Amino acid sequence: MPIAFDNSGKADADAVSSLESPAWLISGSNRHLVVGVGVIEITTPPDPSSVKRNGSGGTNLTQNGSSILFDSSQYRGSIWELVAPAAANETIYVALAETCYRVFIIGCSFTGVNQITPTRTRTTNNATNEADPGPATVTCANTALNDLVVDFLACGQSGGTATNVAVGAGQTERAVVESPDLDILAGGMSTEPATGSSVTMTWDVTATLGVHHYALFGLPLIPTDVTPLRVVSSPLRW
Amino acid sequence: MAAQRIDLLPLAIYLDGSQTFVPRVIPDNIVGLVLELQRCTMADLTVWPNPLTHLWARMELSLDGGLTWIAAGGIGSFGGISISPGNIEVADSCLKIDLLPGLGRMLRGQIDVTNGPIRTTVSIVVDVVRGGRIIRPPR
Repeated sequence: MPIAFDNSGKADADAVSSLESPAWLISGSNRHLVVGVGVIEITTPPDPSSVKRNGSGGTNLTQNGSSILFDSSQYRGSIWELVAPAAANETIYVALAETCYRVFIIGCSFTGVNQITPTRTRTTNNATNEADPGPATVTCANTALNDLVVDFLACGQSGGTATNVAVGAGQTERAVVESPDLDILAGGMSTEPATGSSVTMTWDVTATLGVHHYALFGLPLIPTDVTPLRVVSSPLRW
Repeated sequence: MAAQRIDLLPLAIYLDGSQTFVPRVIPDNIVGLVLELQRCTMADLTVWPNPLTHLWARMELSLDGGLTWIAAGGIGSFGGISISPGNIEVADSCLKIDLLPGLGRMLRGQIDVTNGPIRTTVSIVVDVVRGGRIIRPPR
C-alpha cells in the first residue's frame, strides 16, 4: 500500500503559551502523524515543552531532531512525530514555558507508513535576510522510490507587515498559515512523492520588507511495502 | 457585515477554577471568529498583571443543536505585558478560528484560571470572511 495523505489541522495565535487546534479526523491504517511548530518572540523563544495529540492530557509526540533558531534567535521551528496515532477526531496541542508573541502549529496525518521505521533522517535548511521574493529550499538526498517527503516551513520577517508563502512545483500544499499582522510568522506543510534518491522541496516566500528568514525541514516517510525477496531455488546437490 | 465583538465573560475578577460560557447560537453566515483574552497594558495595569497567573480558554462547536460538541480550538497564556518584536504592546491573546459550516451551529467554552485571581475580559470577534483577515474593532 503506498503512502497516502490523510488529513491536516492547524492553528495560530498571538501572545500565548499554549495552543490547541480544532479537532480533525485521522483514519486509515498504518497511520503516522507529523506536526510542525513555529514560534516568534522578542527574546529567544523556548522549545516547546510538549506537543500532543488530543489536548494537554493527550498522547505525547516525539521531537524529530533539534529545533532550529533563526533570524537572530527570534524565530524557532521544530517538527514532531507520532507513530500510529489513534484513529479519532482529535486536536493537536503545543505547550511552551512562557508566553510568546506568536505561535502556530500544523499537523498532517498519513496512511501506509512503515510502523517500525517510519522515516529516514530529516534534512534542514535555514537562512536569514533572504531577498524577496525568494525560495526556501531543502534537498533530501536520502530518499528511495515510493517514499513520500513531507516538509515543514517556518518563516517571517521582524517588523514586516505581511508574508505570503506558495508551494513549489511538484509539491502538494497540505496546510498553510499566513499572517497579515506585524512581525509575522508564517509557514506551511507540503508533500512530494520520491521517484529516486533525491527530492528537493521549495517554497516561495514573499514579505513586505524585502527580506525574510526561514527554516525548512524535509522528512522522507517510508512506506509499509517491503519489496519481496526474490527466492531463486536450485536443486541441491550432495 | 463588519466584524462584531461579543463579550463571553465581561470585564470582572475571576477566581481560580473553571468558568463556562453559556452556549450561543452562531448565525449561519459567520465563517470565522477570533477568541480574545484581554491582556495587561500600560493603559490598564489592573488587567491580568501577574506573570504567574495562567488563563486557559477552550471553545467547542456543535453542529447538531447541542447534542454533540467538537473542539474548536484553545489558547493559554501567562499574565503581564506582552511586547511584540516590533515593540508594540499586545492588547489581547487571541486565536483565529475557522468555523465548520452548518445551520444552527452553537458555540460554548470554558476558561481555567490558575494562580489567580484574574481581572480580564473574554470575547469573540465574529466575521463573515473565511481565510482572510478579521479586522478586530477597538475596545
